[in-house]
Amino acid sequence: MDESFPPLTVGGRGLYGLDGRVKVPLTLGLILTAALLPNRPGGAYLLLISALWAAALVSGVPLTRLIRRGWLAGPFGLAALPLLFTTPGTSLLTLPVGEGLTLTTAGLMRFTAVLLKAWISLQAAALLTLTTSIPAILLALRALKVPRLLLMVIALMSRYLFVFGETARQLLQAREARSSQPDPHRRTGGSLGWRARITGGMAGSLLIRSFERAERVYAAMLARGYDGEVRALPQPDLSPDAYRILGGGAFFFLLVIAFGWLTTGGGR
Amino acid sequence: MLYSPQPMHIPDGFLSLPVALALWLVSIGLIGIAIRRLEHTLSEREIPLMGILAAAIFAGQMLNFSVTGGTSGHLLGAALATILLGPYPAMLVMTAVVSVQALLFQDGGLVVMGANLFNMAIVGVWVAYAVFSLIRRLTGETRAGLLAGGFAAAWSSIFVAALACALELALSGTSPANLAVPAMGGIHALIGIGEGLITVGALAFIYAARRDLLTPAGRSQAVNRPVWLGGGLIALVLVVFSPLASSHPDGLEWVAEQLQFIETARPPAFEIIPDYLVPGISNEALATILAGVIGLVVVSLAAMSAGLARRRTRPQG
Amino acid sequence: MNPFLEVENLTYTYPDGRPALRGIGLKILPGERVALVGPNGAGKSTLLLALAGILRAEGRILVDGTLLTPASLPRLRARIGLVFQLPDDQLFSPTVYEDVAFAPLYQDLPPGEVHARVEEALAGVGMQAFAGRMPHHLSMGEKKRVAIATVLAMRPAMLLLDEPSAGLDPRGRRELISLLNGLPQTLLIATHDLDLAGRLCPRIVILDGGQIVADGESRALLADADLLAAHGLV
Repeated sequence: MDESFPPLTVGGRGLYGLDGRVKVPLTLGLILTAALLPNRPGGAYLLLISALWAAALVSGVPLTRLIRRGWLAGPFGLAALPLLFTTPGTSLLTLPVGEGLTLTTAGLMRFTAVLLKAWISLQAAALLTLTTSIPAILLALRALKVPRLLLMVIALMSRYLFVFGETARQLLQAREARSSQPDPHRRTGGSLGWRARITGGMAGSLLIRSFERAERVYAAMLARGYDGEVRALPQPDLSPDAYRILGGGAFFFLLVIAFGWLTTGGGR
Repeated sequence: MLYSPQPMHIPDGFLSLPVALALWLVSIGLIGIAIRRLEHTLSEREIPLMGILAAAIFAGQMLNFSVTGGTSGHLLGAALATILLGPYPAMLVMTAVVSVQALLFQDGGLVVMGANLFNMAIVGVWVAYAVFSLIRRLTGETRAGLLAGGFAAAWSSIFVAALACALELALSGTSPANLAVPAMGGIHALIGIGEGLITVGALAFIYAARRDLLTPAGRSQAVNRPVWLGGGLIALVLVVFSPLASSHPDGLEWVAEQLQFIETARPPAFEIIPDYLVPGISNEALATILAGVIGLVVVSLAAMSAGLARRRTRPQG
Repeated sequence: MNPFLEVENLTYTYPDGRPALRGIGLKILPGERVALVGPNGAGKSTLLLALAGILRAEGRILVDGTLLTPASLPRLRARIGLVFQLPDDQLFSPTVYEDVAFAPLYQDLPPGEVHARVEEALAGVGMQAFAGRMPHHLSMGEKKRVAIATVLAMRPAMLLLDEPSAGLDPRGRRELISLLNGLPQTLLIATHDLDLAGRLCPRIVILDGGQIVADGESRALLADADLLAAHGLV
């Protein structure tokens, strides 16, 4: 997991060298663009994914990693399955289920479009994560005017995420180390209730540790002058180049949207 | 860190833009209100507590236990956060969890994050709070009441959030209501049991090891009656509305059409749906079954609380 | 010379009723290096927390002649820097830079001054190259040094350190000892590590059961095997 969060480096190839405050809005813009495209796969979709992959290649991010993350939407694809049969249009084939489920071309288009949109959006988000450190993302959120209180909660959470993740993993390993099945013919594992109670105990243990850690962190904050107010250092200004990239990106997205709607002849 | 996407986090592309944007506005509004309120009432020590508890809950979502065969139970944690911190801080905790899940782990989309925040940080928290408060009111500060309340709060938070999710999918035209509601509702009625069991296990552990963490004494949050009734109201509306929507998909579509949430020429589409999705069982029946399950649960909860309330007259051990 | 830190009849009881500190009396001169040793549960950490004003104890604490009260605490806090036992408790910001900047930021210093303090503190522990790193990615030794830097940024006159060598491998320990040796501040080090105590501190205070049972020259005390054994130190 660590390899996904590069340390805050100054400069780097392509996206790595770009300010988080540019990358986060661009990512949001790309996903929004995908959402605004018509529900029929077409040239605009191709433009979008090509731009994404080009950015990845320029930055040295392996495309396979990106594409693999894109499949995370898989399970949700089932939710969109009915679209195949409910969209009116020319029928392709009829399945002998009940009164007959009719698969239509429009339905196929629509279903594919939804999946493609999800696939593209996931890759955009993955690219953001792969090329941007957590502190940079936090700075971007701050620039987007996320309230300070929420930001502090998110910052603290990000900091201790891995600490508790380690603890959770250790708890799971400890449980595994004690889960033996000496006789393959006897069912082991205890009852469902017992298993749930054990797992609940693990969760309880994590929660208690978090309370205790929070006490100590609070003491550490007090010792350094914390007074309940959320303070932060001033943000460095964005360079003119950064603004140009943002502007260019917005322009590109508008073009893609226009292209998408014009080329599909307005048929939704 | 092992991390797998959760069933309730909607990815980008699955909600229509109007639905996504509307829920963004609602979520920003409600979370903004919570933040403003917290800024005035939060004690100093609660800020590090919220952040670190959020990290523990996030990590806790890695914990699983096998339910049957290949499926496993997971933890969402909205109920636990609510019980331990109170509803307003819990909203912030869950907001942090949901947004970082989306931003860093691609679990849940960014454009649709408003909807995910609504389902998990708002509905999940407030339903849990309403159910938990109700049961505690009936049982008093007993251990049994704590565990029963915890289970019910956890189950309800998952179940009702799933209903909200299903309705959002239906309003977007991605999934028909008469499929989405029973499917999401059914799956999460089961997942909710896992959440409930883990929550009970966690609460029992905390009760045994650090009972002081469970008293609201150290906390600055006092919630007044009208506010927690809101949670109950949300739950009631969603629970009642969903089976209705499910059995009258045309009605829902008509509403959606009037509000122009979905594209034109929709009503004819739903006449193409056969009267039954599973051979031999009609959609009406599915909706009825769902309503029945809900009714059963409500009745059991009432009976359980009545039974526990009766025991209140006896001295507490 | 007037003592920098003066403690009179310091008493503290835990919320559950257990006594932690009973009538502690102590005087530490400016520039002195004192080791606070004792078995687990003796109250070493509690004493440090009370001295830093985090726990409110009965009795008197005078910092550089000023009585420590709720009113004077905000001002006096910057004079005493407490380095906690677990660096993960102390490094709570997303980057090393932000962690070290926390203290000067809360002292309401202007941004330029904050930056200067951060540079100075990181240089003081030799961690300037790590400013942009996330604490999670640091080794234990690096974390300990950054933790010290977070406190140095306040420009304290005195440092309280809780088990600084715990969890370090031999090399880390050596580096830590040499680092602490180079610091100009008055030091009070709570530790099990008698070797570290002997190397760094000419004076040792033995704490057991919430009370000071010995206070004197390190060489003499460390040579008294019976005394050390009686208080669970060997």
